[in-house]
Amino acid sequence: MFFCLVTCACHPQSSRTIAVIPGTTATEFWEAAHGGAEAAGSQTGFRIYWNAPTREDDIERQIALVQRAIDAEYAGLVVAPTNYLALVGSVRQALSKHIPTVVIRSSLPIPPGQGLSYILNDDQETGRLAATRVGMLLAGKGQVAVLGLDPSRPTSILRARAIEVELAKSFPKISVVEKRSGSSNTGEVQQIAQEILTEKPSLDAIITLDVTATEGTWAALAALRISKRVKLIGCEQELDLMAGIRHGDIDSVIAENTYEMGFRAIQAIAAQKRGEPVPDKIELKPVLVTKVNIDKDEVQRMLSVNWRMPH
Amino acid sequence: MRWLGQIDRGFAAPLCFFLIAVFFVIALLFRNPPEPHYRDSFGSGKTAEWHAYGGSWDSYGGAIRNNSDERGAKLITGSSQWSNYTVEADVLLLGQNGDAGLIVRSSDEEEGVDAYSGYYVGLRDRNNTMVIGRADHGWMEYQAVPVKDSIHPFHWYHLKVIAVGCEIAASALDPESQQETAVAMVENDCARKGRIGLRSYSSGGLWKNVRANPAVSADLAAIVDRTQVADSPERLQTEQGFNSLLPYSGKAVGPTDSSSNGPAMNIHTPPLGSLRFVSDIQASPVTVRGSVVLTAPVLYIEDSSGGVAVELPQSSPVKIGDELQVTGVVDARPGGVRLRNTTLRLLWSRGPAPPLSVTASQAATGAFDGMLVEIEGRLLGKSRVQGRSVVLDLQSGHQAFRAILHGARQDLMFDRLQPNSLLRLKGVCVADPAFTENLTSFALLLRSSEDMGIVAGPPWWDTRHLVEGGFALVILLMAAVFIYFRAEQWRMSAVAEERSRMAREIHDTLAQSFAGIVLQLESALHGPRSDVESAPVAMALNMARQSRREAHRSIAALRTLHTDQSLENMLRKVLRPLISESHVKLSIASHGTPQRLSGEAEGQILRIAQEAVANAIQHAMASRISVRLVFEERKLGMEVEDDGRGFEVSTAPAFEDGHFGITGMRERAASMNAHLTITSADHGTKVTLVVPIPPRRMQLWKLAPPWTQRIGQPLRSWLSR
Repeated sequence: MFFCLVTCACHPQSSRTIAVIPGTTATEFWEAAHGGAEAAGSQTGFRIYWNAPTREDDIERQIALVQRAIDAEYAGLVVAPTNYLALVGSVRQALSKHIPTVVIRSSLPIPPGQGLSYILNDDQETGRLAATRVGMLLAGKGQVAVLGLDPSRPTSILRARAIEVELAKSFPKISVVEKRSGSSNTGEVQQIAQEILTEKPSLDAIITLDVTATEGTWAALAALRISKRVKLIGCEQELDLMAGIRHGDIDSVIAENTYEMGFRAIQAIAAQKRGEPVPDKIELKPVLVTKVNIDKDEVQRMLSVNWRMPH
Repeated sequence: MRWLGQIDRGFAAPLCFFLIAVFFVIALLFRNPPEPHYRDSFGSGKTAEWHAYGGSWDSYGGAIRNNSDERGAKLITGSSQWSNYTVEADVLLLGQNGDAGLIVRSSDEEEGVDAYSGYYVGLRDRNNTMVIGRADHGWMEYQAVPVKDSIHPFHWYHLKVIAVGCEIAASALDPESQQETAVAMVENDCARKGRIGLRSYSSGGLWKNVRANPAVSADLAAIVDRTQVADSPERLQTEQGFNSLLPYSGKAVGPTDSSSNGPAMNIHTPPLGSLRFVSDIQASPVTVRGSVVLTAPVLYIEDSSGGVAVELPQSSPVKIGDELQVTGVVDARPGGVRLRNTTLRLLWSRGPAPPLSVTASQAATGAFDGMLVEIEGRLLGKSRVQGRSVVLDLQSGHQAFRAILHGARQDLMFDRLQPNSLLRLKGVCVADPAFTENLTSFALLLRSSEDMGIVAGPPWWDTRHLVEGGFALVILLMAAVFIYFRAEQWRMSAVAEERSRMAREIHDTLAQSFAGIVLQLESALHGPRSDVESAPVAMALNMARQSRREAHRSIAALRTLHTDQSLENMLRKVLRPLISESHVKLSIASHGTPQRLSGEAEGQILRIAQEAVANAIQHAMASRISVRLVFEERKLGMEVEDDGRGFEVSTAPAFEDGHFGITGMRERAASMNAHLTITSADHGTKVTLVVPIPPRRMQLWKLAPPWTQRIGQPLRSWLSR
């Protein structure tokens, strides 16, 4: 018993705990990643510590949580950085302490290797899917606005660029007439969207680059009662957006496989702990969710937020 | 119980201590859990028993308020051992698109939306439902039941949550309409114990009449009988289940028109930082937008360019984080910009923005006036002003500043703060002389006690700690000296014990053997056998006798040493047996104040005295022998004088009868740096020994209580080994 006490004191629970720090918590988008992490954790025998800032733009709090995981010498660290640069120091510190680290969803300017790997969304594919959907909806001709650009997130820039490239290549008669930044506040985005819709009455579709932009634009379309005329294609999923798809107020949402991000991230850390090699970078394919395929098992699995039940 | 008697007495005390400790641990583990009884004192402003995890909490009109839109802000109290209980409170939502409610069986709390383990029951106005579910650093919604007549912000509801076993049930009563809604859940692997808490998500909230009492199954049944008990969260955690159960109302999150007389939403508004340059000669109203960073004592709003104070038109229910559109007249002063004669429009509710980290020198420039900042400073002093505000005087580098907390949970922070602590404070930076009193260049207006974090306590080297440390050091030093001397005493006792044992051994073996040899040789010398050469046998007999005497002297010396007797008494003990078979008169006297020498030195003195007296008896045929001890401050003199026939000292044999004679005495004297002089004439011999006495040592061990000897028994055994 004494030996046990001493052993437990010297090797606290953190040696079998992996910290997963997403951009925020209690959103369906991130709770799916929670589900993936818990499922992989139960398979590999690791406990999951799950917490994040209450706001996705609270970089300081995210850094504090990462720092806590480093100080506690957790078995591994999974982080979804909310800023391209701000977390570089913390992630480098984790690597210097030989804590296996997986960056999910959005990349950092640190090359992979030496304990660091990336499991990202294929943002090029997200942009391509959005552009293809718009081209199909507008039959290759019309005006489009892109809303929700965030220069501090490479994800956002990559998606916007991929949309423009694909439209120029496959649907040259569709023009992007407006590109606007977003906000972490839905109401603020709604105001921006209403401005665009007022200034560009001939707009045919809006592509939004994140959940907040989609929700704000949806609210603007509803307020102006033009949701049937102006098509809304959103990036990133939330459950209430799916209700909008089911009722025809939102055309489609390009869903990221955050469940798989969480699942593979924990598996990658477990593999590193076993001394097995892990891929430097994995890009997961997004899925276009429409009224047609929303009830398919593949889509429903991605949208599940039941983080306590194995998928 | 015989085995008890076999336990070494030295181990009895530690064993008892261990058994008592085990008893207390068992008693602690199996003690009766505390009864969950709680009634709030928010009316008298007492909230110190509550611990906040996020949010901005303060006492407000007999209730406690979270004046923040932060998602998942919690306030926790009670015991982690509370098990089956009822919690009830009156709850009011301060905004839209959120929820507020009660937590039961909470543990493992930290900042974060669902960062705790427990159960939450809330009233959610976004979809007019009453929800119940399990939080475990994640949220599992078990039930969402529509509330009749909807849920309205700024309207009181009475919420009651009962937790018994693994069943949790709750009811919400609208006191005006008397409509009641109930939810219930059961979980197999449930959390069985935990604290109670208040929680809001996005809306902020007010809570009053918070009570907790023990509950039994019958209390639970009263609610469970009226509703379905959810045993799985599965349905609400999938997209199909989520969207099939909840009513669809389209997206309506737009600007909230909470002010009926407010202006229409203005899309193009000037940045707040530009208001500093507005002329007040021809004052005309301006419309600006900003998010609320402080509500009391003055409302402040900020955007990325700056912040301004806003005079409230009336008691407006704004919260920290709310996005406001304000129309008013600009009053630009050196102490900051203020908007007067204002009308407000609440645009959106959002979580409070994180503060900017700045230094005190940067804040002193006025560049951050009216903005939420975070600054570190060392606390110089603290005071209460009119019982409403707490004022902290701080210093950072060369900048002095003050921090003011108005109203909010002062009781929690005031007593906790110690001068010279390093604090990290979040608050609105203002240069208004109403707050700085022109004593400092700026002041920080804190939103709640949670805006103050203690980075480091006061440095340990203050006067009080130095005195305490010095005192502790003296005590430790005394204890160390005491232990050292006690250990030394134990060691000496062990040595004495060992010598006694050796004496017994010599007596029982060597001395007995010599006695046997003497008997055999005597019988050989005086017996009938004529072929035995008498001279060598006589010589062997003599040597055996001498050795026997030596053995007895050793025994006497070993038994005498290391007792508490004085040197004079020890001399008597070892010398008296030498004259027992003769008519020699022996006198022993001591002069001066007797002092103890080391055991080794005393042993050598005794052996020298024995040798001198033995020589006087055996060789000098003395009739009187006097032994005199003279104690002086730094030396001890011993004179052994006899009246026998003298001898020529220079020709005295090195060895005599097989044992060390004068040579041995000289060697013994040299071993303790003593000086030995032997003078002899026809009328007698005088042996003088002068032994230096080292400076006297402290004998603190004499202060030790007797029980230390008992405790030290094992140590003594170990030392003797």
